Amino acid sequence: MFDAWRYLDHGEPGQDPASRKPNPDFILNQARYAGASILIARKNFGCGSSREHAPWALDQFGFRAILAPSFADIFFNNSFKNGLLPIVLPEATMDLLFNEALAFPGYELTIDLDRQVVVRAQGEEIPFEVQAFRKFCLINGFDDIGLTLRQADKIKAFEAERLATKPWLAHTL
Amino acid sequence: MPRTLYDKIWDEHVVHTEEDGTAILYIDRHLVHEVTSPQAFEGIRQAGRKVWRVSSIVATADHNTPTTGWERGYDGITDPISKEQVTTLDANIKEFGAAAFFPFLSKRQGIVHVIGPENGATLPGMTVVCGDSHTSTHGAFGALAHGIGTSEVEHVMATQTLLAKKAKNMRVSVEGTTHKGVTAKDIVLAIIGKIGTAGGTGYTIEFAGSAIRGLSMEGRMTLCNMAIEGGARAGLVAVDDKTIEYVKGRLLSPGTDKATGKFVGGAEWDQALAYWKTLHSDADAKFDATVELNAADILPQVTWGTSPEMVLSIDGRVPDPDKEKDANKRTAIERALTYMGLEPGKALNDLFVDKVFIGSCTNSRIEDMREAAAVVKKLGLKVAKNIKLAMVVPGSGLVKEQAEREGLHEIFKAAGFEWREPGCSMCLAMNADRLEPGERCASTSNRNFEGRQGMADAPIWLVLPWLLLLPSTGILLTCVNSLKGHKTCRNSPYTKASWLPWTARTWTPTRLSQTVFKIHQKNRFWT
Repeated sequence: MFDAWRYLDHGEPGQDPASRKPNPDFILNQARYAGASILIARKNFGCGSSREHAPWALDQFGFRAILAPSFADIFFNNSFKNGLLPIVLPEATMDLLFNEALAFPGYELTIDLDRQVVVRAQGEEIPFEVQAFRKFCLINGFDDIGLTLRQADKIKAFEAERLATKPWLAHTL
Repeated sequence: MPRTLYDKIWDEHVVHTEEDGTAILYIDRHLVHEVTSPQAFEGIRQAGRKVWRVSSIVATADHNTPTTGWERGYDGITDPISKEQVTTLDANIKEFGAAAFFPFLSKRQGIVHVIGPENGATLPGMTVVCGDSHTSTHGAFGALAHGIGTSEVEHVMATQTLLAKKAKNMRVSVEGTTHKGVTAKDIVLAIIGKIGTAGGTGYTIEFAGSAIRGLSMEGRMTLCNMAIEGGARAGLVAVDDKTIEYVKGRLLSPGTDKATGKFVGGAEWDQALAYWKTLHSDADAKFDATVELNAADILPQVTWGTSPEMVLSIDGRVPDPDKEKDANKRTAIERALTYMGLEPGKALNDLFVDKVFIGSCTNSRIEDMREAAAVVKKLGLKVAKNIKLAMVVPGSGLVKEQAEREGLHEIFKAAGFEWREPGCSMCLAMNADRLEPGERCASTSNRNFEGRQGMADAPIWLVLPWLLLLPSTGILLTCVNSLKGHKTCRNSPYTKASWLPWTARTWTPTRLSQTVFKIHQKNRFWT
C-alpha cells in the first residue's frame, strides 16, 4: 500500500517489510497515526484501475473505513466487496476532519454503520448515506454470490429466454 | 417514454431489482485475463461452485506476457510471478472451459480489449465485463461495457450476473469537423480536460455528434477506452452502418461460418441486424447531464502532469500554480510539475524523453500502426541516438500480421524502432517493459499516474501515435542535432516543415524556432 511513498527503497514480493527503509516523512509512518483504522482522503479517491489490490492493501494495512468527498466508481464497489466502508462526506466536513486530525495527536472518530453516523470526539454526529443492500451485507457479513444465487431460478428463466431469442450470444469456437 | 441507449441496454438485462434499486444485471460476455481472474477461479473452486455459463467467457493472456523472446516459449517469461499467472490461466481455462481462449504464443492472442472486437466477442447490445477498467473500450459497439474487480469477476462466473445500481445518463456531443490529423484520442483527451477525471463519475457517457459519427470503429474504441479516465465506468456510441460492417464476418459473430471464417448471413444474422438497428438513443430522450464540444476547437493533445486531466493542446503552455486559486489544485499542480520536472509556462512542444512507447489498448490497432508508420515514412525519420528505446507493440497477433503484410514493420525497423510481439507492454509495467528511475517516456497509452509504467520517479507524457514523432516530444531530437550539423537530418523532408497535419493556428515556436516550423495550409500530407 502506497509503497513508493511509504518506503525509500525498492521492495520485492515476499520480502519482510521490517527489512525495508521506511520514509519518515510519509504521514502514515508517523507514530501518532500507528494503528489507524479510518483513512481520511480527498476527492476522487481510488481513481484509476479496477484491480482489487487497492482495497486489499488498505484492508490488510488495517483500514476499515475511508472518508472522502468522492470516490472512483469501481474502487467504491470493490471496497464493499472486501468489508471496507467508503463514506462520502461534504468537502467542508472533510476539511474540518483534516484540520482536527492534524491538530490533535491521538484524534479519534467512531463510525456507527447501523445508525449511519460518524461520531466526533465530543460526541457530535455526522450523518452519511449508504445503500441499504450494501449496509445489510456488511453488517451481516453476507457473501454477495450466496445472496444472488437465491434468485437462481429467476436468472435461469431470464437466460433461457434471452439465449432463445438471441442465440448468437452463446456462440463458441 | 423515450429512452437513451443506456436505458435500453440496461432495461433489457435486468433480471431482478431489490427495493433499494440494486439490480441483478445479466452479463452476456465475460472477458478474462490472467491478472484479475486467479483469485476468482480459486473462489469458485473453494466454494464448490461451477462457472454458470462457459460460453460467455473469452480469455487471453496479455498483462504479463513478454513482447520479446517468444521463440523461447514460456521460458521467455522471466518474472516468476508473471509466469505463474499465465500458466494458472491456462490451467483454469482447461478446467472450467471458455467460448474461446487465445493463450500466450497463439496467433490470435493480444490485449483483451483488442481481441474482443477483433473476434466478434464484442457485439452490439451486449453487456460486457472484464476485470480491467479499460473494458469501457467495447462501448464503441453500442454495448454496455465496464470494468469490474476480482470479487465481481467471481460473482459473474458464479451467477452470470452483477449486482449493480443504474448510473445516470450523460451525453457528450462533439459537433463539426475535426482538423486533419486530430484523432479520437485528441477528442477524448479534450473531453477529459474539460470535465476532469471525476467529471463522469456516476454516469454512463454516450458520445454523440457528427464528429463521433465520423470516427472509424477503431477511433470509437480509442474514445470509449478513455471514458474511464473521465470517471465514467462505461462509454457508449450508438450503432450505425460502420458498427455493423465491422462485426460482419468476425469469428463469433452471427452469420459467420465457423469452418471457413467467412460471412454467410442467414436468419440469425437478419435477426441480429434488426435488433442492432434499434440501439441508439430516442430523439427526445432525456440526459441528466450534457456536455458539448466544438470539433474545430480541438487540437492535438499532450498531457503535462500526472493525471489524464492534466492535458493541453500541443500549442499550450504548462500551467503556473501561482495563478491557481484553489489550494488543493495548486498543490496538485506543484506536485505534478516537480514529478514531471517541468517549469510553469514551458511550451509543450519543447519536451525531451528517453523512451517512446507506441501501443496499449488505447492505440495499438492497425489504424494506429498505419498512422505512425505513415509519418515515419513520409518524413524519413530516424530514432534519435539519445532515445534509449523506441518501440512499437501491436495490440494483437492479428494486428501484427496485418501490419507485416503491409510492410509497416519494415518502416518502423528501418527508422530504429523495435517491432515487438503483442501485449500490454509498458502501459502498466507488469512485464519486462518498464521505465527505470528518472526515465521520461512519451506513451500512446492512457494513464500517466506516478509510477504507472515502472519506477516511481519516471514521468510519462500521453500522446498520439503520430505525435510521438514530433521533434518536440523527443524522437526527432536527431533533427535538433541536425541543426547543429548532423548530416543525416539536414535534408530530411521534415525540415521543410510543410507536413504539419492540422490547419494553421498559432503554433508557439520555441527553441526549434520558426526556421523549422512554418505551418502551411497547403501541401499537407495528411489527406
